[in-house]
Amino acid sequence: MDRAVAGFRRHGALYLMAVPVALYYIVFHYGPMYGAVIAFKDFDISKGIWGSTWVGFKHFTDFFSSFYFWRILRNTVLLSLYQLLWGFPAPILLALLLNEIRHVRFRRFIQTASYLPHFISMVVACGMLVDFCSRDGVITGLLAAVGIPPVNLLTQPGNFRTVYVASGIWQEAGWGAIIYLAALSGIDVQLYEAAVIDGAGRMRKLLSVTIPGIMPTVVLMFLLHVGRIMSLGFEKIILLYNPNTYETADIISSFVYRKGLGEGFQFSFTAAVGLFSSVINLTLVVAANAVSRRVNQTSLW
Amino acid sequence: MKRMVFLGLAAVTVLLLSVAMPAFCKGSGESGAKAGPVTFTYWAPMNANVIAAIKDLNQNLVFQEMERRTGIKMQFRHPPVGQETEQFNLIIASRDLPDLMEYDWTKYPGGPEKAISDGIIVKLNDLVDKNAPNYKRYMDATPLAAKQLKSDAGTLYVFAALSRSKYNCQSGLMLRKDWMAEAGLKLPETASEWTDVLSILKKEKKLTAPFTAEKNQVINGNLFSGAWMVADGFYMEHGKVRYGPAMDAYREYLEFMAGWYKAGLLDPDFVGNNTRSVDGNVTGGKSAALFGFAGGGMGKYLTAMKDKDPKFDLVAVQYPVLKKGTEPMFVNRSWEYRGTGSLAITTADKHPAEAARWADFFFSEEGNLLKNFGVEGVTYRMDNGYPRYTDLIMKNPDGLSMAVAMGKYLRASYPTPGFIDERYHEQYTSLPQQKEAMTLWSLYDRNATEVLLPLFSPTAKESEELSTIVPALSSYKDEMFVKFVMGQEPTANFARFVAQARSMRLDRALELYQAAYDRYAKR
Repeated sequence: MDRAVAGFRRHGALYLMAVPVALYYIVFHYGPMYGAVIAFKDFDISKGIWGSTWVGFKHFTDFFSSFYFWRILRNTVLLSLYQLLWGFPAPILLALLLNEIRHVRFRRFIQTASYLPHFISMVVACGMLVDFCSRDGVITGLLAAVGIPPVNLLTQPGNFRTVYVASGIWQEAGWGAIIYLAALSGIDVQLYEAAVIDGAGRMRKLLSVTIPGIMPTVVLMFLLHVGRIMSLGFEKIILLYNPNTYETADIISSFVYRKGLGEGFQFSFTAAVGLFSSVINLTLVVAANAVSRRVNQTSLW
Repeated sequence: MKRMVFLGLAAVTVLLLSVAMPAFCKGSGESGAKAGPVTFTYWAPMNANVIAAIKDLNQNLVFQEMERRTGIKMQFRHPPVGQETEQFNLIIASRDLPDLMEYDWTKYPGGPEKAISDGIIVKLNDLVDKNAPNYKRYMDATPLAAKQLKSDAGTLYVFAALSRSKYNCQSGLMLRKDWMAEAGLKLPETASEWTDVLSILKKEKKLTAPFTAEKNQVINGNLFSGAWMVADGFYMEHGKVRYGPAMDAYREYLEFMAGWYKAGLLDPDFVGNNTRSVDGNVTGGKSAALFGFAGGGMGKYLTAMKDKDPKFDLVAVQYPVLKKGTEPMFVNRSWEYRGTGSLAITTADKHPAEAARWADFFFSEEGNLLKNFGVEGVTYRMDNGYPRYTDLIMKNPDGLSMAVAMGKYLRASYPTPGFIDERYHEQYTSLPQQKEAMTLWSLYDRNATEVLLPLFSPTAKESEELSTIVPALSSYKDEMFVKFVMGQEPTANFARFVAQARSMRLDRALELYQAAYDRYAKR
């Protein structure tokens, strides 16, 4: 207790500076959480959140027994896993490669060019993708050059995940690399010097100094990614899918979007679905964190 | 020293935040100041063409003239474009009601009756009887429209946005007129004639997508399915609600479309088509036939191609049938009552009688002229009893497009309380091909009133159940339609598709719609 008071005395200004951030989280993130109770109610806008009648788990059972439950669950999990499998290592790889480039201007150019797509708005980026993947689009043309018949790539259910994940790498790898580049610049130069004295070559340095050096960052980022497995955003999905690709493209959030805003305004139902994904996300992140603490001695908390 | 800087920084941040917070939470609390009976608060979503020119409807000529004539001042509250529904829900939930609200009240959760029983808006029957002679006269003279306007219990809840135009069909099928003439072809009437025409044009012009349309128009647009006397969704057949895709005739239609796909007559990329891909197909000479609107489609292409290809021409085609000489039933008609943009008086309004009189003006001939054509000598001139827009609208000196100029000065081009006037349509679509198209497509619009689902209103309970059945059903249907047409699923499996639809509680949905329809029929 005394220590806490003393801490406050010493770092008062720091605590004061933290106030706005704390307020932000309380007002915009924790405050609205009470609204999640509508998942257990039949929400009626005229009665408000507290006035609506309780219905228990009705909306959850509705969701679990709905015709598309297994399909959207499978699609969400698979798409997330593929994204984790291919999309997660991409920025690390890019950062490592950039780190090896000695020519400063070339390196800057690559870095800028690779994180530029991040700043293109999702709607525009998807518009470009739709064009590139159409029958006479650039990508289709390139594929045709290696003998793949030109079809509109986005109308084929088998292609959807590939297009989604690959374009995700194009959009985010450069931006994602920034954090790893920062971690790389934090590695002590003396370690490299010592390694050189011990006769280490480039590859050896990479494996024994660079990668272990950024490992804590990698693990942290991985944990954060795992915590988002069930919450893939709907924006990109609804901009890219069509009825012919529903079977591989329809995911929880696009389903919620259609139900909550597209047709019918089922606020309670969609809140229940959202709550369901959040619970799974939380479970996953807690589990991954526990594993990582055991294995790596690195963890989020 | 360092400490002081820190403290100072922290203090500034907190201060900034405390200034910013109330600004965030403001915005809705300024309705209290009512000077007398002459000011109403008025909530109205803004049309994109209006917001392009003015920020507030007080800058609109119609409202300025209304204020001059009646002395009633409007204080507007406009939701940001794109957030209309959220803002509407927020107002309902917070009960911070303006006096007048323009909205599609049929979309109120649970229906308009519930908006009244929730204490949001007031029942208008008595108010209209006493204060709105013009509106009342219209309803007495037009029973079909009056039926759409009232709830099952006979409650009147809005001053409606209505169409009183002979052009009830603004969209339909079109063909390349120049190519048709070149090949010496006659306009197709039947589905099989369509196949012939498209096959010939495909061969002669080496077309990659002879018939093109946006994905939803192909899948749910009732473009060709009507020839088989079924719709792509729910429709009416002699007072019974039916689901087109579950009818036997729909199978024949699917076979027809699958045939088109196989023969390369249907745009092979239709599942991915949006407006831009259709634009590309039409202006790039890849397609001979398309679906579109007289204004936004035909007008756009004819203007765009005028210089590029002077021969380019489009002609409207009647909706197809199976047997020559029969009349098409399933034409894309809208009901007189548009729902959107209809004015309700809320329970917060202290002077409902004045408000009703104000709104009633738009249903008089004088008010109709003001709404659709503005002020004589400024935005229109009378030409033998026909109001012609002046150049302020047609060739705006500030360089505004016709649509934006109309948004700035009039309330003609989007649904608002009062009538949509056919003389507006005639001048907005100025090319002869467009006029011809609207006349042709609207020729059988009366037939559509027999098959189109009326504006019935399911009860709150019914709509809740429907909203758990229908969306799933329609996305299943969309998916299967595409599979059948693209040949991934043989049409021989049609019975399996229907069985699956039934297991998704199609029959229950039909039952609920039927109950709502039966109540509507008794109105």
